[in-house]
Amino acid sequence: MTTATATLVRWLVDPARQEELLGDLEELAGRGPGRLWLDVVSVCVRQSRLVAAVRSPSRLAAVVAVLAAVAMSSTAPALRTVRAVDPAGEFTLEFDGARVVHATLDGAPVPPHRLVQQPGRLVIRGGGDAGNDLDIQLASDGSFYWSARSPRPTTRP
Amino acid sequence: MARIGAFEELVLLAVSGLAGEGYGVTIQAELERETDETISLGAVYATLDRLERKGLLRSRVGPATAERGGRRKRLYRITPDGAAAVREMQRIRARLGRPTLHPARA
Repeated sequence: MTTATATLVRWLVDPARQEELLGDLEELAGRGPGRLWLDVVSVCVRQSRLVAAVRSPSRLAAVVAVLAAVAMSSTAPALRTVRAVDPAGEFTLEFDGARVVHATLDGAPVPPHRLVQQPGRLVIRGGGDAGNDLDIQLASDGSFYWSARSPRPTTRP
Repeated sequence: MARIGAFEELVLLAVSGLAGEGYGVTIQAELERETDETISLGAVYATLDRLERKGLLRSRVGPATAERGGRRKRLYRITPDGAAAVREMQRIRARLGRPTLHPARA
């Protein structure tokens, strides 16, 4: 039996039943991970300490409310905006998970047709030096890298 | 007398067949072998608990064994009321089953 399954049982199962259930699952561990998980999940659901805790309607309502909140938070989009600066100025990228859904250059929104997204890479058309593309490498850990743009020539009045 | 469902009857029969030495794993194995179906451990324990609450089973904590990581088993034994409930179910089934010996023709 893995540590994860044992931890799950310790969290969810009535403490008075844990010894016999963990012992049974230890014996069943040799039947393969799929079958073991079926038994672990069934035990956690049917012998859950939550079952005893939600016998009254008010407690049940509280548990349902908490579960609904957890479920809603897990489906809500996790947007993250990152501000980046190089010698040419500032730009921002707004991520929904690993995908960039919005960008700004010097505070101005970048039209969607100028955002070209590929696996591990984002290109902002015309966002680089001298009207070239700005090529941004996206790492799996959420960080990103690009070649710093040159300072823009100052315009004289 | 407490009425029992079909699965409860199977669990009582498995416990009875294991003669007081049955516990979660062996009861589940016995049921799966005889029914040829996958039966979850959670379903087995939920039924064992219900039958114990009805007074049809009794449990005790057994010895620890090495293959269980030193953990003890909960061993189940059928009570006289449990045995009577099974006999009653078998009587009912026998009475109801007789007409099915002459099935209607399509």
